[in-house]
Amino acid sequence: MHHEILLTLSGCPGDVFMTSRETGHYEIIPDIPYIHPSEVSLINGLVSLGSYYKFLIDFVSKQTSAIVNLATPPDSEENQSGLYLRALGFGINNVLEPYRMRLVEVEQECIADPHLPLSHIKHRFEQFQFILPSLDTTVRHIIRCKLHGCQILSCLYERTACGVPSLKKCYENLLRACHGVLYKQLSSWMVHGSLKDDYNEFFIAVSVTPAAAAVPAQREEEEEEKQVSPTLRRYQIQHEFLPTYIPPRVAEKILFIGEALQVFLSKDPSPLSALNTQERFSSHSARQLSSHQLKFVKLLSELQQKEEEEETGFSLRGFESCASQIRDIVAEHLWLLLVEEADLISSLQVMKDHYLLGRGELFLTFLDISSSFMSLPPSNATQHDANGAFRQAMTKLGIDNDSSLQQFRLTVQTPPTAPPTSDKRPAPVTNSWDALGLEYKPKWPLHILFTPTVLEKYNTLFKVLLSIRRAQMALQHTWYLQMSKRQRGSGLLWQLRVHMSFLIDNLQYYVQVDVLDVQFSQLINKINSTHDFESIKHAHDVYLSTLLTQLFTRLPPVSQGLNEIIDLCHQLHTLVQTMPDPLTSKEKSHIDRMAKTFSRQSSLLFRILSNVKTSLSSPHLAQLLLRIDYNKFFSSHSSLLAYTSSLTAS
Amino acid sequence: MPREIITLQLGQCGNQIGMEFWKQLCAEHGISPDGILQDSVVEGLDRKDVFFYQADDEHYIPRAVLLDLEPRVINTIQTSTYGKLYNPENIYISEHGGGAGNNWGSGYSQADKLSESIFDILDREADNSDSLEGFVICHSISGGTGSGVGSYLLERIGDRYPKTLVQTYSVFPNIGSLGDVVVQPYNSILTLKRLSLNADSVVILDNTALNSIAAERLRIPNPTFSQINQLVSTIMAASTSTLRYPGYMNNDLIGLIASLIPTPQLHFLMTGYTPLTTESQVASIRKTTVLDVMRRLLQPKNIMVSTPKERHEDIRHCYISILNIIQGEVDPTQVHKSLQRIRERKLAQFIPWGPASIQVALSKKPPHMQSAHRVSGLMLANHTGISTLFKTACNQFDKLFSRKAFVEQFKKFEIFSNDSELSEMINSKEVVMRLVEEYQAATRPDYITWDPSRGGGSSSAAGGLEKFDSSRR
Repeated sequence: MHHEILLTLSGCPGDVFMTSRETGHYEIIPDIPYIHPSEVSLINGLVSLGSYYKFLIDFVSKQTSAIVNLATPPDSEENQSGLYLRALGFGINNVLEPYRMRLVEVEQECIADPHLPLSHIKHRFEQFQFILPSLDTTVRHIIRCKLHGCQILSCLYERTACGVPSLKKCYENLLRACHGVLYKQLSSWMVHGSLKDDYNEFFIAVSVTPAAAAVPAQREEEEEEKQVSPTLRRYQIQHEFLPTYIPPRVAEKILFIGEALQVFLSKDPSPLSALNTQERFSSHSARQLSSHQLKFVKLLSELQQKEEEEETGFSLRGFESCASQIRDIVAEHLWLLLVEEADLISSLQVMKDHYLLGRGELFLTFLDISSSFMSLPPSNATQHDANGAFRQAMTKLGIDNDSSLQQFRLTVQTPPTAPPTSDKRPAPVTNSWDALGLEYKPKWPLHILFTPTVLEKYNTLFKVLLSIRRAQMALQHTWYLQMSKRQRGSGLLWQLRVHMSFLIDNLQYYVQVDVLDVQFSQLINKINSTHDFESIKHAHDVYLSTLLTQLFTRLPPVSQGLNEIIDLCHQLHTLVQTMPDPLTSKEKSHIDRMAKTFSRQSSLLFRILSNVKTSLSSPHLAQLLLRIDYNKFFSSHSSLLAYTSSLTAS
Repeated sequence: MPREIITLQLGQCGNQIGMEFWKQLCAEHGISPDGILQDSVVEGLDRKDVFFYQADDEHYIPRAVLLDLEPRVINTIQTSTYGKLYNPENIYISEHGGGAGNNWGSGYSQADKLSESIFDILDREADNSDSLEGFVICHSISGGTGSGVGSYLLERIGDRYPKTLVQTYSVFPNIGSLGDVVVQPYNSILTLKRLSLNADSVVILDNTALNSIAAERLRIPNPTFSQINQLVSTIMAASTSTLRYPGYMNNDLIGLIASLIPTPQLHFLMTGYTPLTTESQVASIRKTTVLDVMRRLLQPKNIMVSTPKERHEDIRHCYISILNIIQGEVDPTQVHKSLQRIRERKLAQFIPWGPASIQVALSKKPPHMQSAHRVSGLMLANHTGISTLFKTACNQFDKLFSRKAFVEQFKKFEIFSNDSELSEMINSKEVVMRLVEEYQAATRPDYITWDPSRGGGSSSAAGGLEKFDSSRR
């Protein structure tokens, strides 16, 4: 009988034992006459261990058998597999080793003493009554919830927080087993910058852009893409895979390390050169960095060893400090690469010169050349023409051989042809200016700073600045036309122009001096004072967002008001260009209307600015206000009526 | 090349300041006196093409026309180290060679006779430009050539080259000493009429102020012409610096002056500069912040125009507009603070009839120049006080004209030939008086409704205005 029990405990129930329908555990078949009911419950309690063991060992054999794993597609619904599960399997197998040892011991004891009481066997297996059911529940939980990859780590970690020493130890062992995989992935990521993650288990993954997500991603295609354009890859933290005991800030650091390393590698992604570490890194700073790689490996392996040897469990402090050390080294090298080798500062200057119209004379020339066709609605040829004009402007200024300028290209978005069925027609587009944008192709490695999102922001700024510049030019031309007539003519007309010019000129000075120059000098100071890539990135982000705020793109009442004023400026320009001499009553009433609208808009703007400026959060409004109300003309005519009447009195 | 500017140097004074101006530009752009670009110069940082063009052999040649009725000054230029800089075809000395005898009438009628040759040169220069933006005329208003030829060209250039701007750098005579030119008041008034009616912008360089700056600020007891002209060339170079160095604003002449000039007549600008030095004197190192620069620019002692106090107390002269061009390494955050401080301290009085402010443009320092000063500033300002200068000119004119003194010298010239009453002179004076009135009106809140034809000017003046309007169109 003892042997039957021992066999059942090893997971092989004979005829005497069967699987219970209710509990799913082994139990002795009922109605064996010579067994006392008390013995039945004793035996049943004991052999249930056998069913746990059977379940676990099945799991182990399934996960650890090489053939099964490799043959099964990783993402098939039925079969869960993955490196972490496999590691878990090996871990569990190790944990079960004492159990099997105990079985052998007990069997020998039984042979030596046939009269060994059942209670002795029960006693001998007592310690496993804690472990096996708990492991069973855990594994079932993992299978039921389809926990995958790093999620398993979280699950195991939760269970190490246990008061029972043996159980705690057991889970720590399992966690350590799985950490083996984690460290492998971490070291490939943090030392070589490559993501070795065939089963999508790691907490860092290629971020899927919405466009790419729409296409059902084929693995082979992805693989191919990886070879072709590794520079375009972006990574992200998959928070559901992030083990709960690793805080997001550490994960961010790890993400950064890998991404940064990819930048260094991205220049030459061919696998052949990857074999040779010396040639793999193309730039000087990258070569310097490669000398640090050994250090990274050492740091990581030390960390792992410490966890294994001291058996203290996972140490977040050690982990984080390791990540921080590596991050700091990598960030500094990235800073070196960007600022010293790629000359970031001059690139920022180039960006400012173009996106922020720092090269006034280039855009002046461009606007001159392009005004004829840009005032027409955009067509397919407009973009080509605009680029032609842009290049022509460069040639005229003799800066066409400047290589950094070749990275710029103008874009004109042609309006999507509306389907004929739609009732709502889009607002008629009268000129191409609104559709004009600027495109920049950043060179390696600056693409990590000038991401598409960043360039989008630059483009927004470009549009705002260009519209102000164009209004200014229109008013200057109006000035010229009025000037060449040598007469004040209609007092209202010149006064309207004076006020408009004043507003636009001061807006322009505000934008260029108070905002752009100030923010840019702060950015440059910041870059020069730090040695860390991420603070540069942060400073650059702050720079852009400050610009967007201070150019009122985030304050719709002001930006709309400005747009209407700019629109009026162009109206005035058109009127002065075409108006007959002397003025007809039609023109007079038009001027009158424009003057009223302008005074309404500008005093509205003035009031918004003076109301908002009191809040300390937006000192830039006060700066603009100071400029446009420098001689307190606006504030003394602040009531709408007074200003309007002063403007229309003539 | 876009937005070119052609410089016309007229007469003794015009050529002298012109020469200093080109010296200064050559130094700033790293061009040697014979027009060769120095090796150390990095290309692409500046726009030499606005004021220079390149000859076939890479020489840089100024877009300058040198014109005089007597050869003395131009000969000096040609024999100087910079003699080879200019295009010899652009140097025109009247064959007559006798000068204009400090007589406006002589200069004007000689210009009329020589106009074909002069415009031949101008046409050639204009054709040589891609999109000519305008002319800069350097002259004095008190002599004969600069005032007479200048007046003639001012009247004609607008018609001949439509769509161009005409800016002048006009040197006003020293009030204190009438000097050797007794008819100076006549010359001045006759030229002022053309400056008022035909120029788009006039930068006034007042010899009285220049002399006192040289004497008091630079401690030169008896300043020479060349020392004064260095001051002038500094002003001219600084006021064109935004055209010559790529920046975000004021890249063309129109952008520079349009914001300063609200109405057609109010186009006379005064300038201020700091720090003031001459070559021989290196100023003690001072702390130069944006605020310091802006504050000093508003001080009368740094302004190149002397505006005596108005006798009528009811006129409070004020700024119509101010543009400060600050060159050098400055902290841009200081600009706002300086503006604030100047407003708090009420350092500048502005017009009551419309919005006005100090516009501040930051410009690069010429990279090829060594300067003792970290920061320098130029102010271009439209100030109603400039009218006192015109008023003084009118008073001096009246003193002579009431006695009909020296009018015979003018009557012999063509323009006065059928004009026994000298109505041209009377008319000119009225135009200038109306300018004074307009500037005075601009100090009052009701300037908006001020009507030039009702504003106290006589009808004949208004007639003159219309006459020139039609010629202009």
